[in-house]
This record gives sequence, structure tokens and C-alpha cells, in this order.
Amino acid sequence: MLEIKNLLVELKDIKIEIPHLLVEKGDYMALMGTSGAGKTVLVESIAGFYPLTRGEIYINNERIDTKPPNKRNIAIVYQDFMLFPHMTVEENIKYPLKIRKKREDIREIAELLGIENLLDRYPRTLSGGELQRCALARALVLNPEILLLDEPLSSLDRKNRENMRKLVKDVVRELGVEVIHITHDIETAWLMANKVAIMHNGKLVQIGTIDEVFSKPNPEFVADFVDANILRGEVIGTEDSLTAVKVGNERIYISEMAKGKVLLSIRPENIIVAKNKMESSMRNAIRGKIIEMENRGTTVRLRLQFQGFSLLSVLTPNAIHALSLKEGDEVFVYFKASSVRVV
Amino acid sequence: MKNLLIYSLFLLLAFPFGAWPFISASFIVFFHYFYVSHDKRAFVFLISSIFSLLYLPLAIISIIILVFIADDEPFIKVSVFLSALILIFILFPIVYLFVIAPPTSISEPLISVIVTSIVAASISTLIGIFFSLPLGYIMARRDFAGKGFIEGLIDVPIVIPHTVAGILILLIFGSSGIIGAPLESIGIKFYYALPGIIVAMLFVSIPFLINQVRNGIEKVDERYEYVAMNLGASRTRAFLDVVLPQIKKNILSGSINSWARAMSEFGAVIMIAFYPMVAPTYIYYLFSNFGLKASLPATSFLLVVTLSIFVILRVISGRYSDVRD
Repeated sequence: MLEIKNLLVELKDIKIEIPHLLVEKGDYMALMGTSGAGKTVLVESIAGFYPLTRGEIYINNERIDTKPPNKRNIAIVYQDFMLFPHMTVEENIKYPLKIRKKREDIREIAELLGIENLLDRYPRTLSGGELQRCALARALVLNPEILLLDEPLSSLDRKNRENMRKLVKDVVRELGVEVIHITHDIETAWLMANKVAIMHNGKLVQIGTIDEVFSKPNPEFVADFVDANILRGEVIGTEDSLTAVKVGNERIYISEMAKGKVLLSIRPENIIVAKNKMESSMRNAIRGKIIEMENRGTTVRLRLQFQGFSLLSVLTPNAIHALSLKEGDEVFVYFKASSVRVV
Repeated sequence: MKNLLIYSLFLLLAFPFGAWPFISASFIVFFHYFYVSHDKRAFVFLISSIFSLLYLPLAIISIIILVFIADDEPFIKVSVFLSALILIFILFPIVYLFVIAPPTSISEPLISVIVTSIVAASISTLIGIFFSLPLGYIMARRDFAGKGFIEGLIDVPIVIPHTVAGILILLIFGSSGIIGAPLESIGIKFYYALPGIIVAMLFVSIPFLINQVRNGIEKVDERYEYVAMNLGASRTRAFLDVVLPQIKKNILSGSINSWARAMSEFGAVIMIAFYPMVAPTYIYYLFSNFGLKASLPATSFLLVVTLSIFVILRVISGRYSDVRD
């Protein structure tokens, strides 16, 4: 359990202020926010790399902010992994043990992460996914209380990322460690975390369970990066080799195979908005209402309300003008079955 | 023609020794070039080289012909030729010295001054490494008021005349100097003693080490240290385990530069200690007392010793960097 009280960190170009943050036993918290919001600084402050101007940090009710970073029992994994380039994988993983003069076997953690046969290699010879596993092994070899992940999945390709999500989740569950995971990727947050905290300008602006935050995103901050539309639905059958999913009171067709309860994602730019019904090859055509319009200069973001769910769509100001759309308008929304992904 | 620079350098080196040496060199270049390229125009160059028998400076013409027939862009050809000219300016005097005064005459005083030089330069470099690590670290990792001033201060020993550096050292470490006097009273003598030579060498050579160490540390992401601390290391331990191994190459090349600077230092050293003599002082002593000719054999031998050590260190550091990168 991690608790932050009344925290203030002031660095040269950023200031972060967190009145209260609680990561409870078994929590996996996604920390999201625009770049420059102070997510990394928060995480690094928890790890003890920056002095606190004020505030307290507790792990399992024991105050740790007065301890130096090497006495905190917190592990951090960076986006670029930061394996020591002059050491082999084995030496890297054994480094925390070496410092404590422990002679433990690292075979177990190496097997857990599937890197037994990489131990003799140097980091520069490894792929992104391999580096990631090695960095995790090094971070976890001492059984830390808290694991801090600073976008470790973002440099991986999609396939690797999907594998790693599962692996990280399994390993974290197996070792029973609480996690704060910085990510820009809404899918990662959905799949891995049970809680989400949103940062903006050095402050926490929204925090809660994943359902709470994403069903009622604070539009001012969250809409900035919660760009994917995430929908909960249930597969109700197949039609014309497409899968039909019931979302709210509507029926959405997707081209991927799925069954049971599913999470769907649709990119806002793949959603087409029309004032009147039109002929289209796109399988999904739903009637809805514009409940919010926000002009951002080069784009206009529309929040569209349907029966039981809402979607975000992004259009150009020209398109808005040509369609003469305004808030409160009834519209038709079209998107391809193949634009919908099962998360 | 990727060998053009070496060819030009070789020919430029041969030609001051006379027409026959030049023609011999031309034959070697011709055969090598023709063997590699089968370019028949090489005969033009070969024949032109024979004209140097009539009038030696014509050799330059045949070198220009070689440059001209070389298969490359005009800009590159001109650049290569001009590069060869400035390089021969460094190389020729060395070769010429070895030719007229082969480095075979070894005398007992010569060995003794070389040993003094090596010992003093090595101690000065070790002291330099010890202090350049913390200073280089602070310069690389921290911003602070007056950093620009400190940067300038570090470079001061490079820009001031070495005799001025010597006077400064003498002022402080001389027998009546502000530090020299009290230390001399407890038996540590700088004036006309090895410690004096070492401080003079340290003063003029430390900037090379500091700047190299700083560059090296700047290239090591500070988050490596964070991660090491996160894994349990103290800041000092993080530096030793994680930063130091990654800047070995910089320390090595900084040490080589600093050591070479210390070995060659004359102006600052003679101000505080004419005796015990270091090698440059000895050369100067021979020259000023017995003339140019008398100083040549010792100069030649000293040159061989310093060049050999320099080359060996370069090879070691080169091999080292191959392994690391």
C-alpha cells in the first residue's frame, strides 16, 4: 500500500502538487495525462530521486520519504529500460543482490519472465521486448513493495506489447506487488489497471476505478488523451460473417471474431458524422445526438450521445461548417466494421 | 583512389632526400597504384617523376599529376593534396631527425631524465584523474551560479603562456611561496625537486582530463544512476558501478592527453625545477650549452621513447573502444 499526503515537488521547469493519493493493496494504477503533466516526476519523486519541498510518502504505513532512494524498496522501470550497458543481463539482474551481498538464485525470476537463455548477453544485443523482460526481472528480483512503470510498453510493437501486457499482469499478480503504471495508451490502462489517475499541470485532476474515470471522463483534461472510444458490450451473434455486439441499446457490427462480454475501441477519426441518412457500405449506422462540440483550431471534437453510450468524433472545422453541425443536432454516425477493434 | 593521401604523403616525404629517393618512391607508388587500379595513366605519373633528375622541384609536378589522374571529385583531390602538405609539415622533421641522427645513442643521463619525466608525468596524471572525476561530475550533472566562470577557469592553464604558469607555480610553491615555504619547513620541498615538477605538470595538464571526464559523464544518462540507486546503490556506489565503467574510454584518452602534455612540458617546469632534469629540460640544456648538433642524438632517442609510448597507449585505447562499442 502506498499513500501520498500533501506532496509538493518543485523542479526547475515543473511543479507537482498531490494533496492525497492512495494505492491500496493489490491495486494496479494507470497514471495518465498529457506529456509534461508531471507523471514521470511524480513517479521519480516516489522513488526518491528528487527532494520533496513538502509532503509525506508512506509504504504500508511506514514513512519512506525521509529515506534515501536505495532504502525504499520501490522498483522503477523506464521506457528505455536503462539496463546497464557494460553488464550482461545476468550481472544486471544480480546487481541489486550484489549490493546487498546476497547470493540468491535468479533462475526463478528469469524463468518467470522467460529470459533464461539471455543471461549471458549484453543489453545492446537484445530486442525491445527482451530488454523489457530483463529490466522487469532486475526490478523484481528483490520483491519490491511497489513497482513503478514509466511507459515501458510504448516502445514495443503491437504484438510484443500485447504479449508483454499479459506477462506483466501475470508476474505482478504472482509477486503481489502494487503498481503505478504511466501510460498514454488507453488500451493498456483498460487491460492492466483497476484504477486510473489523471494528471494535468502537475496536479491530479481525476482518480478512481477504471469504470468511473472512463465512463465519466472529466472532459477538460481527460479528453486530451483518452482519444480512443472504449465501449463495453456483449456479443449477440454473427451476421454475414460479422460479429454483432450489443452496446447500450444499439447493435454494433465488428469484423473480428469474439464472444461473451467484450471491450471495443474505435478511433474518433474513423467515425463519420452525417446530418441525414446516407447510402454507405459501412455496416454501422447509428442515430445519435451531438451533446458537446469543442473547437480546437485545426480539429473539432464532437461528443455524441447514443442510447446507453457515447462516442467521441473528430472533424475538421470545414466539415463542421459544410454540414452546419451544432450542439443538440440529431445526426447519423457511420463507421466500418473493420474500424472497431476488440481490446 | 582511397590511397591518394598516403601516396602523396609518401612522395612528399621522399622528395627532399633527392631525385633518386623520389623516383624509387614513385616506382613503389606506381606499382601499387597500377596493381590496384590497372589505370594506364599511371605511366604518365611514373615518367614525369623521372624529370626530377633534371630539376628536383619538378617532383612536385609529378605529385600533382598523380593527384590529377586520381579518380575522385576535384574538391576531394585538392583537399587531399592540401592535407598531405600540412601533414608532411609534421611528419618530415621527425623522419629527417631519425635519418641524420639515428636514435641509437643512449647515455646514462638521458635514461635518468626520461625516467624522471615518466615518473613525474604519471604521478601528475594519477592526481589529475583523482580530482577530475568529482569536478567533471559536478560540471556534467549540476547547474549552478558561476558555471560559465568555472568552465573558463578550467581552461585557463591551456590558454596562458607556460612560462606564466611556471611563475604562478613558483610564486605559490617556491621556497618562499605561500604554500611552498611552510611545506618546506616540514621537509616537503617543491623548489628544485620532484614535487615541484609534478605540480607544474599537473597545472598545465589537468584541463584535458577534466574536460574529457565531463564529456564522458554528460553522455551517460543520469537515470542510470537513479536506477542504480533504485536498486539499492548509494550515490557513490552508483557512480563507481554504473558511471565509471561507462566513461573508462574518456578517462583513458583524457589521461593520454594529459600525460603527453605533462611529458612535453618545459616552460612551467624549468621555472620551479631546472633540476632534477626532465627530458625537455635536458634537451634544452644540451642545445644551449653544446649547440644543435650535440642535442640531436638525445632528441632523437627521446622522440622514439615518447612516440612509442604514445602509439602504444593509442592502440590500447583504440582496442578498448572497439570492445566497448
